[in-house]
Amino acid sequence: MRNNYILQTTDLSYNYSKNVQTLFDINLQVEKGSIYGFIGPNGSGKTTTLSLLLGLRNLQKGSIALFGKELKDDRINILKKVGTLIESPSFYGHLTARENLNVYRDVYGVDKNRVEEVLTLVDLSDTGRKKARHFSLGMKQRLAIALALLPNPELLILDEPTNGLDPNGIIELRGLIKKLNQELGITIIISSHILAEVEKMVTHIGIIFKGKMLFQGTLQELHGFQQKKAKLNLHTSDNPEAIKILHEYSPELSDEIFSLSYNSLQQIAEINRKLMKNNIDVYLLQPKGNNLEELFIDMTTNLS
Amino acid sequence: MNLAITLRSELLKTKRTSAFYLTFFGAFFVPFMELLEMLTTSDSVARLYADPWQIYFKISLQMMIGMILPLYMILIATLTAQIEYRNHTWKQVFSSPQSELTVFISKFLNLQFLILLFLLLNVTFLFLAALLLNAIDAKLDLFHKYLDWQHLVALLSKTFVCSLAISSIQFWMSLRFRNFILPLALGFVLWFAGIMMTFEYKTIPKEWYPYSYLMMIAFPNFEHLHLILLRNALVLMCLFLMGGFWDFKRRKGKG
Repeated sequence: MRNNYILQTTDLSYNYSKNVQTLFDINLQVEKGSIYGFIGPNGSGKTTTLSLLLGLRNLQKGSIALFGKELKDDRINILKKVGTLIESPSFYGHLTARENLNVYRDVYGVDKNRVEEVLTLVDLSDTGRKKARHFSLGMKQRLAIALALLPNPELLILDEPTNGLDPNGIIELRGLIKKLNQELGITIIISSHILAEVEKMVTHIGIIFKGKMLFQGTLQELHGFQQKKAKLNLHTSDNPEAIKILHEYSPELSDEIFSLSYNSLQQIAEINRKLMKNNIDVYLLQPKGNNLEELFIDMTTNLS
Repeated sequence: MNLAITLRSELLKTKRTSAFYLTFFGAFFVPFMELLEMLTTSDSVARLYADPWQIYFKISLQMMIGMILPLYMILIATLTAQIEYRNHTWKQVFSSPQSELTVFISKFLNLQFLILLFLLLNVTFLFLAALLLNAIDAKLDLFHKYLDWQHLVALLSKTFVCSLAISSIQFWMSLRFRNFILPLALGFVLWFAGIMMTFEYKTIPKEWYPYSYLMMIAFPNFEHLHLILLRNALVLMCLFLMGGFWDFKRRKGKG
C-alpha cells in the first residue's frame, strides 16, 4: 500500500510546548505524479507539517515515509530527491542567481549544465551579474524555485509560494507548476491559505485546520463533498406551506427566506415544479454560491 | 568527500561578503599604521637600524596578535554566521542533503580559513611595508640583515593554535544568537576582561581564560606558559565545539 504514495505520514503529531499541541495525528497521503494542495488558514500547522517532512524539526510522534523509506533512516539520500521552498524565498542576496545555484550544485551532485537548465526554465538565464537582492519579488520567487528544481527532484515541496506575488506572478507560477508536473512528472506539494489560489492547478487536496486534517482526497471528491453540502435559498408567496411541501429536503427557515439541501441541478428544477404545482409563487430560487472557497471557510469556521 | 563539498559551498557563500572584505582590509590595517608611524615621526625608523627585522616584527606583531586579531575574530565569527541569518537561509541549508555535523564543521573550517588568511595577509603586507621603508631609507639595509624565519613561523603557529579557543567560543555564540549584537557585545566584554586578566587581575588563572591567550603570546614575560596555553586552547576548542554542536543540532529549524 505504502508504495502507491511518494509521501505518507502516519499519526504525525507535534507540540511546541507541553500544553500546546500543534499537530494531531496527521495522515498525509501524496500520490506519485499528483499536485497536492495542502490548504489551511494561517497558523493551522501547514509549515510545521512541512518542516517535519524535511527533517527541519525532530519527529515526536508518528512516522514519515518518503519514496517508501522512513525519513529518519535515510534522510540525506531522501533529501537528494526533494526540492524545497519553505516559507520565504531563501538565497544569498550578495550573490548572483548563477552563484546561488552553484552554492548547492555539488551538494546535490549535479553538473554545471543543470544550473543553466533550471535558470532557463524559470527565465532567469540572462540576469548576468545582477545580485539576487536587487531582483524583483517575482524574480526572487523564481530563483527560489530554480533552487528547488536544481536536484532534478522527484518531489517538490512549496510552502506558500504565491506569497507576495502580483496576479501576473501567480498566473506565471501556476503555469510553471503545471508544466513541471505534466512535462517532467514531478510530484508537487503546494501549501496555501487560499483555496481559490491552488484549486486551479491541484489534483488532490488536503485541508488542515487547528492541526487536524478535515479533508483529504482528489479535487473531484472535494467537489462531491461540496455538492453534498450545497444549499438552495428560497422565498415564496407562502413560505410555511412551501416548507411543509418540501419537508423531505430538511428546510430551515430564517427571516423571510428558507434554505434546503440539494444534490443536483435536476433537484432544483424538481423543487420548482413541486411549488408551482401547489400554486405557490416563487420569488427567489437561488443556489447558494457554495464554491470551494466557501466550503473551505464553512469547514474551518464550523470548527473554530 | 561530503565535508569537502559542504566546505566548498561555505567558501562560495563568503564571496563578496563583508566577512571577506574585513579579512582583506583588516589585514592591511596594522601594516598601514606601522608605515604611517615610520614615515611621519622622526625617530621611528632610526630605532630599527640596530636589528631592523626583529624590532619591526616585534612591534607590529604585538599590535596585530594582541589587539587586532581578537577583535577581528569576534567580528568575523559574527559576520560569517550572519550570512545565513540575514538571508533567512538556515531552513534551506537544513533541508538540503547535508548532515548537521558536516554543516557545523564546514562553517568552523571556513572561519578558520578566513582567520588563517587574515594572518598570512597581515604578514605579507608587513613585508611589503618593510620593503617600502627600505626603499625610502637605505640605511635600513634589510636585504643584508638577519630575519629569524623560524621564530616568525613558530610565533604565527602558536598564535593560530591559541586563537582556536576564542574563535570556537565566538563561533558558538554567533550561531546561537540570531541578534548579532549579543555575540559582539559579549566578545568585546570578554576580550577587555582578558586584557585586565593578563596584566592585572588574578581571580581566574589566566591559563584558563582564553581571551588572554593572544596577549600572552604577543607580549614578553609569558613564554613559560606558552605550552600550557597551546594545550588549553585545544582542550577549550574541543569542549566549545562539542557543546556548540549539541546546541546547534538542538536549535535546528528555529533559524
